Amino acid sequence: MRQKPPAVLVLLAVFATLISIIPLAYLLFRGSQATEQFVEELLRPRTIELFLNTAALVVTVTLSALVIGIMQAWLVVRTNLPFKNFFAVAAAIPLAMPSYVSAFGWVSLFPGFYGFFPSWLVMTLTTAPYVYLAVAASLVSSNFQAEEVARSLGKNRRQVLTGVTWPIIRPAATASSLLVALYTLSEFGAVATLRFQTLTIGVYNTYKSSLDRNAAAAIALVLVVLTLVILYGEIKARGKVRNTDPHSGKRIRIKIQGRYGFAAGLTALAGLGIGVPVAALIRWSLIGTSRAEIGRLVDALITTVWYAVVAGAVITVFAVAISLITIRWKSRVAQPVELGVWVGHALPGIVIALSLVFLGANFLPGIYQTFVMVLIAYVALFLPNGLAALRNPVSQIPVALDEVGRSLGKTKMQILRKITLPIVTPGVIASFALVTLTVMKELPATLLLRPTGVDTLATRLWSLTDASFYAAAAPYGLLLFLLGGIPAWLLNRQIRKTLDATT
Amino acid sequence: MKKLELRNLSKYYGDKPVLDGLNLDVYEGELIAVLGSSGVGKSTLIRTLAGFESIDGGEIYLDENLIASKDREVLAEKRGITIVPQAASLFPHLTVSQNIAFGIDKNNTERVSELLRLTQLEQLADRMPENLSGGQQQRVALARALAPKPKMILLDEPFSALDPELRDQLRNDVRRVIKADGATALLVTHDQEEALSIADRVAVMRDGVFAQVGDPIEIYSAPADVGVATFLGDSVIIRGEIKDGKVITDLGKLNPLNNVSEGTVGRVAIRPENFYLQPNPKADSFVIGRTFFGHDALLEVQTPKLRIKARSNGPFAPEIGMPVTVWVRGAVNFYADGATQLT
Repeated sequence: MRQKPPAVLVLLAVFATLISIIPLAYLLFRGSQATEQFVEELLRPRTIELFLNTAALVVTVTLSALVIGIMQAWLVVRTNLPFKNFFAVAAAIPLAMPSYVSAFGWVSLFPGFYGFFPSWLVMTLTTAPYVYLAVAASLVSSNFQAEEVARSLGKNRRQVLTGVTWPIIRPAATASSLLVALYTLSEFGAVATLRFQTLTIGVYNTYKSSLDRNAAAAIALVLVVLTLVILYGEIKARGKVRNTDPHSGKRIRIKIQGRYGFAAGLTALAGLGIGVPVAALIRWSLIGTSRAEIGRLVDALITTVWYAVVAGAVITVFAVAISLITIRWKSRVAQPVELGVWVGHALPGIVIALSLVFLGANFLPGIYQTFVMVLIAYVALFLPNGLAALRNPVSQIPVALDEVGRSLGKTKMQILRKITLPIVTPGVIASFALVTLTVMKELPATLLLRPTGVDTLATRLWSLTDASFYAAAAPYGLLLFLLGGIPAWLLNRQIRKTLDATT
Repeated sequence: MKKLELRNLSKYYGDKPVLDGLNLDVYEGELIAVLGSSGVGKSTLIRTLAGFESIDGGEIYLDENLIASKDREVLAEKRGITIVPQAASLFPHLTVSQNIAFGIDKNNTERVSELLRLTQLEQLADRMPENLSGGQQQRVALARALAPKPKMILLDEPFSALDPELRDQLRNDVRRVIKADGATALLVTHDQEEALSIADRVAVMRDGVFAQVGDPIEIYSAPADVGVATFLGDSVIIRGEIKDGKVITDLGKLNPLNNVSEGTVGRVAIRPENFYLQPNPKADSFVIGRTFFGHDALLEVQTPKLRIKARSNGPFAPEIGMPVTVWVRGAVNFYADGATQLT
C-alpha cells in the first residue's frame, strides 16, 4: 500500500516549487501581455548581436572545455603521466575560483584584456573542471579490461580510444558539456568584467538604462528559450549510462610518448586557470586598501555570511521536504515538484532576478528590495544543489524502519522526527554546507534585488572592479576564493575518488 | 605441431620473481589448464602471453616466431592471441552480436552467426550486455575471443565469478565450443576439479615455476611430489621405508608405483578413496567420525598408530564405533626424503 506523506511536507514542497516556477511563469505572462512590443524588441539588431555573441561564446567554450576536460581526465586516470596526484588536484582547483574573480584577476593584471577572446579563455578555464570531474569519474569506474580485450582483438591504441573508451565516457562528456553550456549561457559577472556583450549583460544594461522593463524582459525570454534548447539537447544527447563490470586486477597505465611534455602542458593550464587569478589577488592585496574600505569589507563579509546561512537553512528545510516526498514516499506530486525546481535552477540568475523585480515592484511592494526578495531568488536558483546532497542519504533509509516504528504505535510525524530525520542528519548538514557556500558567491540576483546600500562580497567586488579600483577589490576576491572555494573543494567527494584511483 | 613455446620465461615485480623460468610447450588444438593457488603468478602469465605486460627474461614463441623476449615485444594487437577475462568485460555499449563482431570484418555476419549458434546465443543476439546473466556474458566473451580465429585463446579464471551449478554446465559448454572451433587454448584456474575436468593437459604452477605438467589422470594419480599431491585433492600422508621393494608403513606393506631404491625413507600419499574399510569385529582400527554426503561419506578412522580419512560409498559406510580393517587399494606414490622429483 502506498503511504501518504505527512501534509506538512507536501505543503513545504509545493510552496518551494511555486517559488521556483513563479519567475518563469510571470515572465511568460508578461510576454503574452505585450506580444507586439516583445517581437519588435527581439528583432532589433542589438538583440540579434547579443544573441550571436552569446551563441558564439557558448559553443566555443563548450567545445574547448570538452577537449581540455577529457584530455586532463584521460591523462590523469589512464596514463603514466608524472606527478599525477598533483595534476588531479590542479585540474579541479579552478572550481574554487568564482568566474568573476578569475575575470578580475586577468583584467587587473592585463589592462585592456576585454572582449570575446578573454571571455572565452576565462570561461573555458572556469568550466573545464566540470568535464574533467565527470569524465574522470566514468574512467575510474569503467572496466579497463575491455580496453585490453580490444587490443587482443587486433585494435591499435587509437582504435581502442575511439571504439571502446569514448563510448564509455560519452554520457559523462555529453552531460557535463551541456552543464558547461548552461553555465556559460547564464554567466554574468565574468563576461561583464571582461566587457563582452552577451544576452545576460543585455538584460542587465537594458534594465538599468531604461525604464522600459519590457525590453529587458524580451531579452530575458531569449535566454529562457536558449536554456530550454540546451536542456532539450541534453536529454536527447545524453545517451544511456551502461553498467559495466567492476574492474578487477591490476590497473595498467598506458605508456605515452612525451609524458613530460603533457605534464608541462597541464602545468601551463593550471597556471592560466588558477595561477594568474591568485597572483593578481595577492599582488593587489599587498598594495593595501583604505581604512574606510576595510570597514565596508567587514560589513560585506557579515552580510554575505548572514545571507548565505539563512538561505542555506531555508533551502535545506525545503530540500529535506522535497527529497522525502519524492524519494521516500514517491508521492504523486513528486514529478511536477522535481520538474519545477529544476526549471528554476536552469534559468540564468539574471532572468530570475529581473522577473522578481517586476513582481516585487508591481505586487509585493512590502518585500521589494528587502532580504526576503533576495532569499526567494536564492531558493529558486539553488534548491537543486540542496537536493543533490540529500539524494543518497534519503534513498538509503530502510523502509522497514518506518514499518517497525508504526507497529510500535508511533504516528507518521513521530517517525519523521525520531527516526527519519536523525538518520539523514549527515545529508542535511552536507546540504546546508553546500548551499551556503554556493550562495556566498552568487552575483547577478543579489546585485538586482538587494536592499539599497547593502553589499555582499560579490556585489562590492563587482562595483570596485567596474570602477577599476583593483587594490580595493582584491581582498574581496581573496575572501570569496577562501570562503566559498576551498571548503567546497574539501566537500567534493569526486576529486578525492579520482585521487584514490590515481595512486 | 607446436603452437606456443615458453623458454625460461621470467618476470619480476621489483626483486620478487613472479614467473621464475617457465618452460612449456602447447600443441595445436590443445586445451591446456594452468592450475595454481591464488597469487602464484597465473594472471601474470596470461598478461605476458597476451602482451599486456613485458617480460624480464626468456622467450615466448608463437608458431615458432619470437613474440616476446627482454628486448623484443610484438604489440598485443599484432599477436593474434585473444583473451576471455575473469569478469567478462563486454563492451557495454554494443549488443551481443556487435561484441562478437568487434575483432572481425564488420560484414562477416557468417562468422558471427556461426559463433552465436556454437555458444547457443542466437536468441540473445540483439541484447545489451547489462541484460545478460553472468553465464551468458561469459559465453559472449568466449565467442568474441574466438571470432577472429586467433592463433591462441587465453581464458583467465573464466568461471570463478559464477555459482557452482552454472560453472559445471558452462565448463562443458566452453570445452565443447573451443574444440568445435578447433582453437588452441590456455586456461588458468585455481580450481583443481575445473582443471582436471576441462583440460587435455594440466600444468601445475607453484612459486612461479611448473611443478608438474601432464594429462589429468597422470597428474592426479601420480603427483610429482607431496606438495602437488595435497594441492590436487585430499591425501593422507604417512611415513614409510623401502625394504625388499615394498614400502613398510604403519598401514602395512604397500606397493610403490614409482622406482625406489632400497633402504630410503620417505612419505607416501594416499587418496581417501583409495582406502577400503572392511568391517571386522576382531580389527584394531575403529571408525571415530563420519560425514555423510549422499553419494559418499568421509570417515575418520583411528588405527593403532594413525588417524586417517577414508572415503566410502554413501549408504554402505560403516557406522561410528565399528571396528574395521584398513586396506590400501593399488600401488602408492613414494616420495623419498630430501629429493624433489619433477617429471
